[in-house]
Amino acid sequence: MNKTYHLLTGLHFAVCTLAMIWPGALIANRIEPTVLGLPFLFFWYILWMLILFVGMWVAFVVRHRGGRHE
Amino acid sequence: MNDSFIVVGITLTYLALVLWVGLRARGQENSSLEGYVAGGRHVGVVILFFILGAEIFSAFAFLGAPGWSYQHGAPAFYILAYLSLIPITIWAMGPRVAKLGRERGYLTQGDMITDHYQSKTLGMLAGVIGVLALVPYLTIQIAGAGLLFQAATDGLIPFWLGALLAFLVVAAYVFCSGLNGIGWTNLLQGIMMIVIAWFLGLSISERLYGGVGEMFSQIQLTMPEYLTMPGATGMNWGYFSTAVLVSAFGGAMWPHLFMKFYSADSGKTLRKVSVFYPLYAYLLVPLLFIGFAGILTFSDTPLERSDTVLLRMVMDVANFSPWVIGLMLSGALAAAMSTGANLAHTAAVVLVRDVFGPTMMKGASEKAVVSATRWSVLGLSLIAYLFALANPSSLVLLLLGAYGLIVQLFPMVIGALFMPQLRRASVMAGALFGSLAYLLMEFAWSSPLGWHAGVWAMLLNVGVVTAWQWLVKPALTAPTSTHSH
Repeated sequence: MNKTYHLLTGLHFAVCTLAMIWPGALIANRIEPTVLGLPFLFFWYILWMLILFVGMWVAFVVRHRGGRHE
Repeated sequence: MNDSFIVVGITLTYLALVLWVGLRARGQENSSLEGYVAGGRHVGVVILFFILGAEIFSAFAFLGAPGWSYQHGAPAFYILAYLSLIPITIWAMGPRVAKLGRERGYLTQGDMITDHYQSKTLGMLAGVIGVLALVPYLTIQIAGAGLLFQAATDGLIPFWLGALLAFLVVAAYVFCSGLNGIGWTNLLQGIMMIVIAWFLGLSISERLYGGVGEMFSQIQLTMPEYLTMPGATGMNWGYFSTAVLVSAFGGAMWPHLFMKFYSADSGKTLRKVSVFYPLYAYLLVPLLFIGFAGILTFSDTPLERSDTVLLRMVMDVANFSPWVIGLMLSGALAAAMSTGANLAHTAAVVLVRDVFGPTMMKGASEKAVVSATRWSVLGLSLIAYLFALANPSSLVLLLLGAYGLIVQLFPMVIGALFMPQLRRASVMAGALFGSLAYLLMEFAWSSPLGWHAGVWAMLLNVGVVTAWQWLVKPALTAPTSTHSH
């Protein structure tokens, strides 16, 4: 795997982590607007859980497409 | 028919069934460990997802998580955050752990540490830290089971007796070497837990408030402080964030998870598992709803013990049929106890193999090792039972405490996997200083800035490792290392 791949995965992980703690979550620390009936901060976590999963899925597919790389 | 009779009947029947299946599984636990992660080849990702999910659903998920959202409100999102962040570590180091384990036949974490650093003392230190952290984790399961028994029997079985029963069942499982809950039983149990969690979460908010959205609007009207940080109890961002970090990075250090990495057939399988791992956090979402529902319900008469909020909601408030209650309780009980059995078994293996192995049981026969492991299961579960009797204030706090300790293994594990220049003396000093500082901060001092003490201990740990690397040069007597990694 090349450098860009590792850089992008690392960046994805770092952004997702920072979004869920200080200071990332600061910007979402509010009740309004509610989304799907959830207070915004609650929804924020639901959203980043999904972003983390999707990013990892893409990284997985890119890494293992076609081959059986370790 | 009497309602509580149905509840107790279902609970006991279910338990007897699980115990029976567990005891029948005698002698299969070693091979099934392999099928657990590596089974992804045969069973497909969906099934693997449920199998692993059963492990997430323990007393912590059913009692601790709603307890925290009831008591603190928004700070309970820390559980969603750390659970979904754990796979980052698995992704990064899991494949390498699996490869080394396959090539060199490791069984425990200590095996890898001992082999890489060529130091049995360091392996022992890793073992001691692992066992010390596993005991409170086991305590959570036993205390949780005590609460569940108490609720299921309407107080007929008091907490101490319920916890004692749980301790006995856990010990019986492992003693007869039938580590149940792996494979198909775990799959069924995992599905059942997920269905129960979502059913309860949605139907409780529906019955009491007319829906999840409606519930949150009502909380917003009367007690909006619960819905944002710092929550109702004023938890600061520093503590919240450091708790997330310590748990997310400590997560993959747990001996019972680490040992499963070894059994993966390839790095690809482990990465696939880690990709789906963030989704487990979704399974806990409805359980947080239940805690939030309790905020208004119990606003006049706050619960004495917040970990009981789910039980009080289900038993007293939401008016479910006794069949639902019975299924819920027995499912949660079985979850707590199968997780407990797994933890007790892991702790005993680590204790005997990594700590006793190089010392008082040097060169012991296979038979002696097996018997020592069994007695250790009994001894460690007994200790956990006694801790449970001390009535821990919050199951979540117990787990957070354990994470602060287990995360101290991080530098030596990273060293063994990726940084061959780290020397044994450096990582040993780091882990020693880190763990001692952590225990002192937990029990004697208070943690600076109100952060999770695990972060300070970790910083000290890394600082000591770095300083030792730079300042303490290998002694002249040190042999020129021909050992290759």
